[in-house]
Amino acid sequence: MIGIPEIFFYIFCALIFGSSLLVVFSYNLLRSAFALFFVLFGIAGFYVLLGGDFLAVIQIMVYAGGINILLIFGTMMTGSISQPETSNPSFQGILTLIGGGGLLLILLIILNHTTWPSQSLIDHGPTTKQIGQLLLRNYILPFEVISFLLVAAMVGAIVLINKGERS
Amino acid sequence: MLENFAYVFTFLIVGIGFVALNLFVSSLIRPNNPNEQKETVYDCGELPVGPGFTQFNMRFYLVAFVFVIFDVEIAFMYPVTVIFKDMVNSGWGILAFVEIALFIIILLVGFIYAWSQGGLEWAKSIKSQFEKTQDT
Repeated sequence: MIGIPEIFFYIFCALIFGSSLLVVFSYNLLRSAFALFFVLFGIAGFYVLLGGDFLAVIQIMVYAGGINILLIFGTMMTGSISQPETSNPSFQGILTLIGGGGLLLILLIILNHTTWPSQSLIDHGPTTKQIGQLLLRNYILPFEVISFLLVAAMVGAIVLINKGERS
Repeated sequence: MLENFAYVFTFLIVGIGFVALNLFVSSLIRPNNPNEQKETVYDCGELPVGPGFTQFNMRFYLVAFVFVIFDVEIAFMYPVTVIFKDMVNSGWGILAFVEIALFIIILLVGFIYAWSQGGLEWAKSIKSQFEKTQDT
């Protein structure tokens, strides 16, 4: 018996799989960056199916809406953007192949040897309130440390850009 | 909860369908006789100069980066705003306010630093080049 969540699971699977193939095999770096949007969007769909509504919206807002824009901007600043047809060579040498293959192997071994806590999907309802309560009561210090982390990232970016402009 | 996301899905389908339908209908009824001049890149009526695929200024990256930083800040502030009323009613309002104020002030320091370093000024390099030519 296939319910509606299962149908959506397979739709998102196809979306993620198809667009990640595009990310990897497209010779145009800009197209790869755009295709990554659909991968991140599909992952947001998975979060919805797993009951993480807040996480899903954050995934779309921060990753699909923010980080992906940053990546697209980043590709426009690379030197090879003037040849868009060949800016993203799919095969990048033997060492990369070994590294990627090794990572795949490690992930497969972990997948096989871990007993995942599997339980049927419980409807938790909206989770934003619980997250807010946890942030303000149990995890105050991490919450404030996040802002320091963000400031450190921002200052680092400014220092690097100013240094790059001077040279 | 999945039922709530049915609304989101409906919006998504209607949004994509609206664009697709409009493009399809307009492709049916519009005249199609392109010529060389029509196919040039429209650049505010000016003739385009040079290739379109050029390396962009690093300054764009900083603005995009500051956007992502504040995007993440909003993401963390949103759950706090949802429970703020409950916190006020249960007597924890001041604590919640101080926490979120501290969070914003720390990020504001970073923003002021970006501003003071001229990270948000567009014409900075052009201005310094202009001053250089004035000196010589």
